[in-house]
Amino acid sequence: MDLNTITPTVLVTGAAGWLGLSLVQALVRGLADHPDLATPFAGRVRCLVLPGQDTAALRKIGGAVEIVEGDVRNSGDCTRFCSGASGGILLHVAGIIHPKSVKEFYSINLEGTKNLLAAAQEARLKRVVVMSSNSPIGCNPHRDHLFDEESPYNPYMGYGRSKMLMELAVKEAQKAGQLETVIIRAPWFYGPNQPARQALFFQMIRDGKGPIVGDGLNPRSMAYTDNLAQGILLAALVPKANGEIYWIADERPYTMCEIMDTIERLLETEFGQNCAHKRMRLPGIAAAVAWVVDKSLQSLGLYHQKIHVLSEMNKTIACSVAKAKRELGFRPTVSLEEGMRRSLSWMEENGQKL
Amino acid sequence: MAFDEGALSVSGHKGRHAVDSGFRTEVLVIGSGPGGAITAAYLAEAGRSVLLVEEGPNLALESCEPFSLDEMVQKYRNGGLTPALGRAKVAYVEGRCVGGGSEINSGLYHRTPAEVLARWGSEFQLQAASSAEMEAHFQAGERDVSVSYLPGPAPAASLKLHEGAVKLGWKSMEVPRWFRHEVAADGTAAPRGVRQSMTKTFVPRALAAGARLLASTRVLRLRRDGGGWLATGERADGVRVEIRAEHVFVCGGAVQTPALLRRSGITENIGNSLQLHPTVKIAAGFGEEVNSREMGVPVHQVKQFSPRLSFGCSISSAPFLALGLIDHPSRVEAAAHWRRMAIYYAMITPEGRGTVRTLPGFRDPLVRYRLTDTDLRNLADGVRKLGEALLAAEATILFPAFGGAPVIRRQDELQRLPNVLPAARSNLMTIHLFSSCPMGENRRVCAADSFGRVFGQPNLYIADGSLLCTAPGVNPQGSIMAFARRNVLKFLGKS
Amino acid sequence: MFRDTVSALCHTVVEERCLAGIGSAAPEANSVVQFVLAQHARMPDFLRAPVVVLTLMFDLQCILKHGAPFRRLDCDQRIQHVRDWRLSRLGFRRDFVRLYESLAVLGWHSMKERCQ
Repeated sequence: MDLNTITPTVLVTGAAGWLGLSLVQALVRGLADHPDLATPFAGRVRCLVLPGQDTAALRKIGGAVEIVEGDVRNSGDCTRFCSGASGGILLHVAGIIHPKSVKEFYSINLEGTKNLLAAAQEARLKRVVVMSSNSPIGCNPHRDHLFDEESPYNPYMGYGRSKMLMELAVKEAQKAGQLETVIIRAPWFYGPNQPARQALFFQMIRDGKGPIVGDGLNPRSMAYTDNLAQGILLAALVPKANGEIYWIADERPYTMCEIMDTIERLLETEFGQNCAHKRMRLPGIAAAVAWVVDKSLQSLGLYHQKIHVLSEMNKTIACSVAKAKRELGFRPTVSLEEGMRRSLSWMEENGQKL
Repeated sequence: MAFDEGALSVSGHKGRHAVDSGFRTEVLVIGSGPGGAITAAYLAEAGRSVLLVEEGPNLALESCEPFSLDEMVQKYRNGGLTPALGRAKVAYVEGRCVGGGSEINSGLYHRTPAEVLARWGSEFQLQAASSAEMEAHFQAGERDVSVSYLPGPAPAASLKLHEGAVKLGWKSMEVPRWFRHEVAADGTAAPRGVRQSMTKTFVPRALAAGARLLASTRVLRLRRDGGGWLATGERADGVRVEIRAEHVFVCGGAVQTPALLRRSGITENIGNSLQLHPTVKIAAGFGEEVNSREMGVPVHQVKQFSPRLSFGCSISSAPFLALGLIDHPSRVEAAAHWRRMAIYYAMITPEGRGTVRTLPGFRDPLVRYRLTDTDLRNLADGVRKLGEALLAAEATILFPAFGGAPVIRRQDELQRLPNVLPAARSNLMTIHLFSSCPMGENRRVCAADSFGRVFGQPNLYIADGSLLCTAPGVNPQGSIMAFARRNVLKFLGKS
Repeated sequence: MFRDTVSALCHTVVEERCLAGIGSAAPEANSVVQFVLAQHARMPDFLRAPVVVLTLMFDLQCILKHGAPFRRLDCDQRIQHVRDWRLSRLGFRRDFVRLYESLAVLGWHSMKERCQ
């Protein structure tokens, strides 16, 4: 079974974004990592991009890619995007994680998703796969804990809350019975097509400023973009996924130290960078202070990316992908080292400077 | 006919303060375990108007695997987390569902021993309860719930204990159960059948004779109401319930019956003399397989030292075996060999007494129980003798289930067991509770007369294990059933 | 905090008593945690609050010895703390550990049995 046999159209939101590009690529070119996804999708791939967004990379992918400009916040745009795609499958990966203000979390992640769900229902789409996050579930209670799909909501700040409300809206739509839905929860992801801010992270590690808060042994689940694309496409494909939630990530979580050590090693041995072999070590209290500041800012409706990221640095955010493996046949073949290698190669090839 | 929750019209407003006061009945029976179900069935069959109220849910016997976690959650009170507090805590369990304890026990049947009846007669001045006078009641009960022996071979683990006891020249016997057996197809598989719990026998009998059943409804208090009684309580959905009855039989079991009476201001000799059968366990390993998923219920009991000590084999599923090894933290791997292991118990007839008290502001009653030094010595003796029998049956390793217990492999190592079970680490449990409201004419200690009529409270009766004057030293359901029948026939003027 | 400590405690028990180092407790232990929390909600009402208080004491007592509450420790340190309480001369500590151990062990093995 492959997607060609079940739908003529796949719709992708956020298609010009980091994950969106990888997803469209996986769809159009096929994903060699998984036998059910290896065949390229030959039907229409309709992509929603923000007005004025750079779509060169998207166009380069080839295949039957159609580009629709629009904003999920505008319900008319959503209707236009979905119209005439009866029986199609919508992969909704547009979302905002680092906004200018907290309000955007809700207008984009929650209201935007609601607009899309309504449009999808009206256009008689078959299934919607919605991209959520670890944030509705918060941080693990202790380091050797892994979240599963039964873990209760415990949203982490504004983003987590907006994604939780989004998930609840998806469940509502599911209950209405006219639309199949699947929720995918992914943690921190990495891989080609990354935005420039990610290059900064690699530079910091090279220059000995990779921040380690506390002992750095807190595990973090990460998802390589192709692993994630595999999970999303399987969620689109597998009939029994309807109505379910799946965590999608790499096979196992990594500790913060392991993540930075791996990147450092690759930079030095394979990408000819001289590394400072140092870390910027901060006491756990730094994250606690950042947490308080972040929380206070967010309660005022303000958002500061660096403070937010710092507040999360010493937290354990780890999940189990057992259910996805069991029910979707998910096979996260790429792990940290290989995934980071591919990311760095992509940067080189695409002229992102280290 | 059986009523679902809410099947009766609710007067007043729906919601938190809704009151359902539409119940009137000639006889109210509170609790649907063996005492209550039998009482309700005989009353209904005699044409009386009967309302049978049960705090727990109305579930089929088959609603869960027997002795499973699901059963614990569905049918045990407090999920099975009920301790009798004291210097040695005793974990006890009660059924909380239609059919009460009969839905969750092993179904092992004993008559009340003659010497126990004789002692009740002399000490408690219990009248008309000699062996001869009880005979007809025993026989009726045995017929009604099909008390019978296994038609095929007993479980291997059960036979092991029997074998060991016989080698030592000890008296050991197969205990019959209330069970309807189907003949095994090929004679090798464990015989299948249906345990004759109350939901299979007396509850349907009562309903067929016109009794009404109100499940998931807890009676909180009883109050005199003219010549009769007004019972107030609440349904599981929070709706308050009022029931007016001419006669009330309280059949909540040895903990809930005294709790309800005390909450209603009836306290004379109520809840002061709780007794139970404390048991201590041993997990034993053998050289061959003795356990399987289809093991069924072990049926042998060693009665050589009865009534002081009794031994038997317990439910030995893999989860219970893991639990049985909890006092041996370095032996984690043993649980993996569960097919070659089984759990055995030593049970004593104790001197100890306990109390049942209600706590203001709390829903659940406080149960306290105090073992005497003799009891702790008997328990230690029980462990040693049980170990002896198991080693005689070629057990290769014994894990006594109390804190700090040694692991035993040979007869001479039995001497390493203490002479007195350490109270604070004893980890005792029981499923037999009784005697909290003893019957008899001895007004100094008895709560009810020889037929369960509560002293000083017209038209109020007790019909459950609380009436048994002392610990019978054997599984008590047979005694509870016989006395329930005897007392309800007295009430009906038929004895 | 109570729920997090119960989670850490159950994972520790499963790790020490059920797996003995041959695997990772997570995420199967999550259903054990849910069972244990549900059992806590079922226990006699007058015992619930004392158990919560004792659980928090158990958690915070680690700060004195290990510099962090129980739920923040790694598994080996947690196993050590559970052992300390299991072997304590104070009966309430032993009973506390035994309560959680019984529930977690029973929950774990019942879950395993159901899966097979």
